[in-house]
Amino acid sequence: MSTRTTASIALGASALIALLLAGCTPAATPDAAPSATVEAQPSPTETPTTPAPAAPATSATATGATLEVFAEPGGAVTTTLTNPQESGAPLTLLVAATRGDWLQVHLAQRPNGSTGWVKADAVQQHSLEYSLEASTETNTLTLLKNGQTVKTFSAATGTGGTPTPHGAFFLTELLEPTNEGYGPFAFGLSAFSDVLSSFGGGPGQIGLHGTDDVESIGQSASHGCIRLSNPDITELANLLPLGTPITIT
Amino acid sequence: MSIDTPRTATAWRRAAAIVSAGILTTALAVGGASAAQAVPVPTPSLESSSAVSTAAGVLTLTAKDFAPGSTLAFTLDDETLTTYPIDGTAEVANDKGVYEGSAFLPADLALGEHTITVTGEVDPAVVLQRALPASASTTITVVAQPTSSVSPATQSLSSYLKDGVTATFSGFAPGATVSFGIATPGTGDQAGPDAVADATGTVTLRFVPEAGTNYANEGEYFLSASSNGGAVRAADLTFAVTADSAASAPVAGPATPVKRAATFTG
Repeated sequence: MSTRTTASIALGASALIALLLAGCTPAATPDAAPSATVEAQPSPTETPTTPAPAAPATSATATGATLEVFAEPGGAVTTTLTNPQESGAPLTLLVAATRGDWLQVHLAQRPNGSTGWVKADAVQQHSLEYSLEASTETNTLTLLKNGQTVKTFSAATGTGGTPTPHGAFFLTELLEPTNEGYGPFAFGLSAFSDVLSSFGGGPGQIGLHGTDDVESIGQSASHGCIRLSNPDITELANLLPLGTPITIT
Repeated sequence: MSIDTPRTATAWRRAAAIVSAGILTTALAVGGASAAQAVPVPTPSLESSSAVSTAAGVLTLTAKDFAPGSTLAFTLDDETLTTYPIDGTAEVANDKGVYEGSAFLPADLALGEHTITVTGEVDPAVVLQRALPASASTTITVVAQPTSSVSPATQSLSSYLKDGVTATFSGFAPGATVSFGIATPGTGDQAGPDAVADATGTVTLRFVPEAGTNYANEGEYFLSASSNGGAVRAADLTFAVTADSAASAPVAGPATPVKRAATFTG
């Protein structure tokens, strides 16, 4: 006498729904129950054996005077952002995911890594060719275009007491500072210091900027910001759009 | 449905004779031959939720009049048929001698008549001081699976969320009530309200996912349609939802600097 359990395994996930529809989902099932047969189905989320090329990032720039951020598609409004931002820069966010008419976006707020959902028709999307990778270990900043390294800059990052936070962030604004200490250009990041809740009248936001303190470049010397030489930050200021992703490790 | 012997008819008759003799002896010992005639021989039975099924169909099997606590074993023709109990976790008769379980018919089951048999024990308290093997059978007729098709078989996520998919199932009995299901490799749900097959045995399902549910994402999905409580199942179908392309978005240009004081951490 042979067994029929293998035949039922082939039913896979559809068998599960068959049980549900039949109104007879077992309260508990033995080892060969349908829950185990699910494994027989090919998984659409199977991990590829080789890394896929990085998908191009997308920025979302608000088109109205305000931008509502939702907890989930169609859910409650968690915050309303103003456009332009307080700095005067246009409100641009980095898109994390797309779901129909909704975009999940990274937010420039504490805690670091915050995300929310915005309506796709409330923003203008742009694809982003460039990305940045900063290392607090080597004190470098690498520029990439479509995932390929273009150039690596020597940089200053935070000291042990005021470290540069690690994570995935994006460029929120570009300033041409009227005060000293930031060089000719300063990008704001969506990252915030883990130890400084305020700095110089600001909320402890991390920046990527130039400096007149040339000696600090290549050192762990800042209050958390990433400093470049003035020529290097000028090069990036002429190249990078808002929303550009930056990963700090 | 019929009562069958665990081995042969001769063996059953022999067992019944032994049972009768035992009862008669016991009855005589307590003072009357008439008492022996009043003790019934338990007659287990097996019922299927549907007499008609398809390959890959789901049947609810109900076995009755077995001994409470009796372990049951099911076969489809001559092969083991695993069932999944509606209550409890094992193929065991309850305290009333009843067991109800779901059985998935094999996807490769041939058309025509098939016999499902359940074997267990009858109540020893009624018959003898020990369990007596017994079995019962029922017959089902396997018919061809209704055909199915889905359109589009592949589409982008935004298109899917907006327009959904349309599935057509043909080959159900005209007038049959058809239920629809959608599943991922890990979850399953009803895909919409039941529909009644038209005069040609055809039903159509338009499924538009609700944002935020398990079925509103990129991936592969399974759609099913069934009647007769799941016994008659259309051929399963799948459709795929792919990521939206951002290629149409224009490339962002360099940021425009704003002249003002910076307050970054420095």
